[in-house]
Amino acid sequence: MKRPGTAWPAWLRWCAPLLLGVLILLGWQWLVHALELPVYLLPAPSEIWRAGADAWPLLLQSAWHTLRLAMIAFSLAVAGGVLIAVAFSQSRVLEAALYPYAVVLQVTPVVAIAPLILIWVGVDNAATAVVLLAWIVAFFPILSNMTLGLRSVDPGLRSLFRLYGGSRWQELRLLRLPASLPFLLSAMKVSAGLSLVGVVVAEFVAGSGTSPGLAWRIIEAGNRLQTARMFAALLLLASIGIALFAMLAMLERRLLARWHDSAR
Amino acid sequence: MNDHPVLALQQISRRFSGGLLALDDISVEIREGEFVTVVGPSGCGKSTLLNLMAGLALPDGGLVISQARSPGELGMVFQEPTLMPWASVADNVALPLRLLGRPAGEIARCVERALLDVDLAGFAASLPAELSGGMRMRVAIARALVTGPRLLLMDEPFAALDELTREQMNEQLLALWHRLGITCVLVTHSLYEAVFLSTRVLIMSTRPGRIIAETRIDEAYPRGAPWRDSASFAATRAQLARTLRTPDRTATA
Repeated sequence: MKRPGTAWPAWLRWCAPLLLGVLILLGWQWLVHALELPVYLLPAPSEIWRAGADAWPLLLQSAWHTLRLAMIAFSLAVAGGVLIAVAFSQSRVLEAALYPYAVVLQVTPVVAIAPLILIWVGVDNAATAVVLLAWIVAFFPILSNMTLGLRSVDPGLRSLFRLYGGSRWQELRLLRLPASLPFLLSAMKVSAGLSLVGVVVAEFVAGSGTSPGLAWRIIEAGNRLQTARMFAALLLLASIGIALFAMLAMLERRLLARWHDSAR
Repeated sequence: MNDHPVLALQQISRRFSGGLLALDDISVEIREGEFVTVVGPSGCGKSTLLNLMAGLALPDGGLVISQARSPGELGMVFQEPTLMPWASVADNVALPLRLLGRPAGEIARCVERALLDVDLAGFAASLPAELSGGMRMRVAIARALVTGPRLLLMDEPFAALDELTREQMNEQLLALWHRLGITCVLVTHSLYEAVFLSTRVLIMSTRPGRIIAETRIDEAYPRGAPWRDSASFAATRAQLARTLRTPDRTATA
């Protein structure tokens, strides 16, 4: 029996979910054939693979478009969230005045704001509208966590800065920003996924036949009852989300491994 | 040691934000070269008193007159090492000099000397997480000493350490105090530590904190195991314990 507290071997942590995935795929394949389900209702994994392979260049092009918009929204969310959080840390009045509006922006469903944004930026600028909508979704976790991180500073260290007459700029640069790094990296993992979700949702709402993103490929395939292609696009979308999360988790481990409990 | 006061507190009082009186009518002089220890029951305002001495808090009444008010003339060690976990030992020790805007060459020289003073010369590149509790506290002491302060304030710095490490740290601190000729004020719960280290012990009452007794320890320095094991040490410690157990008594030994 495994003793409590004993670490799992690394290979098992990778192999267990992979093995489960293979078992689910095999079960799925068997179920579709055994029940003779029509392909438009639930395609077998082999059908999805075939549909994906057939539409690969188109799907890849669409995935790149969606990823590019998501990354622009994500970068703007990180930059905006950090800058506004820093401004909040320097002025409680500013924080008290602006934070409620940031919350309002966060809790209002992006689907409901989309038509308004489209009117403002113009239907011809669908990509700008999509980025703006994805930014609204992805920005709040950065702002919220970064604000918390900038405040979560050891009071003893703050006393030390006061003792030696440290300026606000020195306190921000040498103390508050490094102390908030774990909070920022954690928020970035959430925000990257949300920016992808935001782009897809915005593409659904703002997209048209001219939109080349993955969301439109899913709508298009749905309208034509090409369910296997829909699944292929969905899988591609999920893979992008997982890859983003994994890259940011790796960055987090790399930056925090030596000094922060969460990464050791 | 001379009679010139580095720090003088005159009829100090301090209230907490709720209005509760934390310190009441405290007058004390810390003379150059002294090692003064403040002992008292938990919550009596020892740390508040130290913050007032450091200028980190202001009194509600009375005066704090300090000759060590320029940044860098006063060093402070807190209950926890309070190190920046992302920064190396050298960067942590260098922090006060960076805040004071000293040139890079001077910073490197002072950091090297401070790390030598606390026997951590080989750990300049280590991160705090890679050190033991005692070593982290030595880094905090090096950081407090790096500016060459006249006055060193310490708030129960060894409370979290095991007995053996604590004894070693006491001896190391005493050697540094003796060699550098600085003035030290230490807040502690440990009468043992107070008697071993100090030239003078101030005893505080329960809240509102007042200084109810003052004991001079005349044992010569350097002090070590013979002093710790002596009958005189035990008698002084017992006398301090009796004073602590008798509240609201003003006495001078």
